[in-house]
Amino acid sequence: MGISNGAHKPFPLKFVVLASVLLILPARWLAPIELFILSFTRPFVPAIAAAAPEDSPEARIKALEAENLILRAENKELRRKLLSIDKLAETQPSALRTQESYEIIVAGVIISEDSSAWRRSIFINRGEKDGITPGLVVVSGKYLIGKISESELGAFTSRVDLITDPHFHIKAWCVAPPVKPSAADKKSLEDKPAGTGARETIEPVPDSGLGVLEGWSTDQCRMKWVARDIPVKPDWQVFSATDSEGIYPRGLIIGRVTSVTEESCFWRLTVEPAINPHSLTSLLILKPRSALK
Amino acid sequence: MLIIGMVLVTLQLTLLRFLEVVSIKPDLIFILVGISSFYLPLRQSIFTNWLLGLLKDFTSNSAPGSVAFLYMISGLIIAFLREIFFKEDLLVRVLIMFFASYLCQFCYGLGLLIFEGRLSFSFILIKSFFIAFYTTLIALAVFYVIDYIESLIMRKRLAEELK
Repeated sequence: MGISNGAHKPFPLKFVVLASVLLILPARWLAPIELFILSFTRPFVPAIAAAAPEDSPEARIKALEAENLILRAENKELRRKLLSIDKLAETQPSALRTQESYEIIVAGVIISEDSSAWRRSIFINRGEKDGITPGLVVVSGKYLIGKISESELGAFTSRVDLITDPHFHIKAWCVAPPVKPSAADKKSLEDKPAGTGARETIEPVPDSGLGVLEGWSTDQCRMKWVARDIPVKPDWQVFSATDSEGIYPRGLIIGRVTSVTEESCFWRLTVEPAINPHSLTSLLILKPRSALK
Repeated sequence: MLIIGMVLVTLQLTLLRFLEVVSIKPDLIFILVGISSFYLPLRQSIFTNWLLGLLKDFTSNSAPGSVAFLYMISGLIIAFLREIFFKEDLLVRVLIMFFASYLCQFCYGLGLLIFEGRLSFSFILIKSFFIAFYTTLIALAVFYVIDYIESLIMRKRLAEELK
């Protein structure tokens, strides 16, 4: 019973090393292996489908299910177009209604760098005595710069986490550049005979996708959790989205997409900020008027 | 040493942006940590390293005391390794500096991963390597200059003794 002759069980070093290696490897390297293993189930699917004879109740059910799938896909596409029309109104970089919703506090930049190689922050000359609270948005005109740091807020000074800092994350929209109607679309509209009914609109709606933007300790940001059915491409613009607490106004310009990569069921976007915060000497802090009450 | 540290922090906050390569910045304060660990007695170097780390904590958006602790431990590692290896060799000193710098940056990045969960493990491994490499390149130049100055002082003393 147990171990005999003083022999000991060998430590599973190889397993620990393998587990560590798998931990380090990026997920997209392991995805092809996973898909390859799942592909072994493919031959079984048509065999089950072929078992049902034609004109049988099972065959009719299968035909109805296939038609149902087609109709669902069409319905989804039409809903998506309808949503994107509504989202377009939200995500356009409209002029901020700052005087109505936010109090503006002007701040000067004291130190425009962070001495750490991992953090991205700047030091400003406004603090608690000026009504600053953690989490407030910091902008430069219509460009989002960052937010007031939650850990370094003094009476007269505070630190701003830039959008490239690992501690920064907000909801954001990525929006396609506006698409102008092509010459063929214009011509087809002109060729339609009169009295045929309501004209179809030829203004295509730009696509957009919602995701989470976060800093990545480099000069660029990442945007995650963007749905894969959105045809995101480089040069799409990124704007801020409203949050549940009403701190972040919508439509602040963040930057543009420089690269798009797959990350399991979502897109991962690399976003280049539109403005270099290290060249700024003054900033604006937006304080929601509801927070003043 | 602390006055030099303040000067370096000022440089790190102003001019280092121009030395940045693909978002990688060298850690100039860590070079001072290496110098104090190689040339000062152990107790003095521990205290100096801790103060240098605290100086860096105040000028960055990190938890106060975190970098100070890491610099102190890195200084201890350098002091421990200098007793084992031949510290007069420039290459050995540079390798020890690289190892200690990599460990320090890796631990800091790991802290960001554990407590904030933002960065990935592979990114921390790679970025730590490049920060340590860049820091060690500058440290190599500094150690070379220190060795040259030491050799000049030695020659002058020998010349005076021979007179």
